[in-house]
Amino acid sequence: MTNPSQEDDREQQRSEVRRTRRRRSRPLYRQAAEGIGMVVLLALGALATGLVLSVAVAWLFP
Amino acid sequence: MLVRPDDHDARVIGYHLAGLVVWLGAAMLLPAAVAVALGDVNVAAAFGFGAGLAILLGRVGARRWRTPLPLNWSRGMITAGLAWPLGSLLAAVPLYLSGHYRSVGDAAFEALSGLTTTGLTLVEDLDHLPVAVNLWRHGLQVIGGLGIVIVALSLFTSASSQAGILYGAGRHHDRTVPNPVTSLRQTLRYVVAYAGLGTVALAMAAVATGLSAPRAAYHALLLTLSATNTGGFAPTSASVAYYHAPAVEVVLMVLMIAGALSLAIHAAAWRGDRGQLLRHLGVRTFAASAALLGVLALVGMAQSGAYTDAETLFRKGVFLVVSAHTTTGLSVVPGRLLATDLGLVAPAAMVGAMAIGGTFASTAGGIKAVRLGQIAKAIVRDVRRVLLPDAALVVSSYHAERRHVLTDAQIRAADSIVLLFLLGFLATATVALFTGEVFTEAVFEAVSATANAGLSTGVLHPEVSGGVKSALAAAMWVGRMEFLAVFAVFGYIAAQVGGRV
Repeated sequence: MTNPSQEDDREQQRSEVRRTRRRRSRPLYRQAAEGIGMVVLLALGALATGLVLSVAVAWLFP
Repeated sequence: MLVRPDDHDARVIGYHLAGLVVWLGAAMLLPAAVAVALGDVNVAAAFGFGAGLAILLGRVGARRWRTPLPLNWSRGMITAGLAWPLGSLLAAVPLYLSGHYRSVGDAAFEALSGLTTTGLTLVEDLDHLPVAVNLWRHGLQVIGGLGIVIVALSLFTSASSQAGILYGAGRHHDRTVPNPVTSLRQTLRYVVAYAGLGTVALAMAAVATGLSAPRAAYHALLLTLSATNTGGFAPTSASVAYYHAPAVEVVLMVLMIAGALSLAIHAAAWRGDRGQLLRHLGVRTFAASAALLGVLALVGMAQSGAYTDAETLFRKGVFLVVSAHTTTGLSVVPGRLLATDLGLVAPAAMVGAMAIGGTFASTAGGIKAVRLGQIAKAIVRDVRRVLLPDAALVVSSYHAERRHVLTDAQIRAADSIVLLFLLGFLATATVALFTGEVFTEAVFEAVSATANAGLSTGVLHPEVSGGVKSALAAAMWVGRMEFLAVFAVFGYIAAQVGGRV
């Protein structure tokens, strides 16, 4: 009998294997585009937060 | 009790250091070629001499110490600890010969600053620095950045299992690439991709400011190398303020954030694992501390009256927080203004951001966000233990590439690193205070150097005392090596001198 955490680990390993297979089948430029796009989106999200904070601080401390 | 190392250790360390020196010499041939292409004979000769010297020394050393013995983790730590200062001395040769440094020591400081991706500078007349020399300064950040990622993945992570404590905090989430060659190949792939795209984007933004296309491309390349490797060197003395361009600033902020993310996170992004970016403890802690310290910095700037409108707060304030937190060191305001115009809260928030730094196994310095995340989780776990019944089993876990149960060893490792960094900040600031620097500026500079950030309040300049320069150089080295590699070097020397046979 397996406990839930072992099940989680196995499921995670299986999904990792699936991901790896998918990754190998994709051309490098697509991996790069997707990877860089994801990181750029994350960074732009952080900057958008910074912009909102700037507006809020400028409004609160005129 | 220390045991005196046998000759084999010295041979292996010497052999691998010699190999690194040869590669460093070979790297100098690129700026030499650029100088030749631009017809700058003196600069080409300086790089030719530097390259020849490094390659000669490296070849002689490799022949003298040739050995088939492997570089195990302890020898690797000592080699890494010695590689940065040795590399700095040799990389400084063309810098000094360029005539833009007062002494060999200043040139070596600059080279160490580049190789540790710090960005503190002692160059004179930066705005008239030859193209090849500027390229070399920025190239050193790439070499040092690649070097520290490889060292972190191949040595620091295995050291956690060997040495037990200091690096336990970072080891789990970097199981992506245990092989140094694979790590190098993979890191190079990301560096080239970001350098290419970043250069194009920055060049377009710089052209829009009125720079000619070749000059814009040159500036864009150097700034991209600096931002993606969280280095901090800039092609002009005004740093990013030179451009007065929001587009340049936004692109640089994106590149700095990308540079502060670990190889494991980039790898996850490239394989399409979106969840990794959002669940990773390092990313979450980095985002939370950046938001908190960002608010503090912005409020401090607004209250001091330095920046009161939203646009300036974003362009100056957010840029400085991103630069500090990613430990890059690019700036949009002159260094003195950080000390004189921003009050106390904003610089204090920036000091906190620099101290925390980026994520483990990136080029960013500082304590590393994941360690603070682990400590925060440990505190929450302990509070829950107090509040729940005695029989309750309280387990804390975190996500770093996969789910991990937080262990006492990891918490002890994170605590140790934090303590060592705090001692490093204190020791460096104390030296600066003894030479007459103001307390707040001494602390700012000490944290900036130890965390390999590179922002400066103006304490560091060519006329400052040798004591301050030495303390900051030592801080850059110790901080970059995250202490243990430097301890290994001193332990090795102590064992050679006083160890039992």
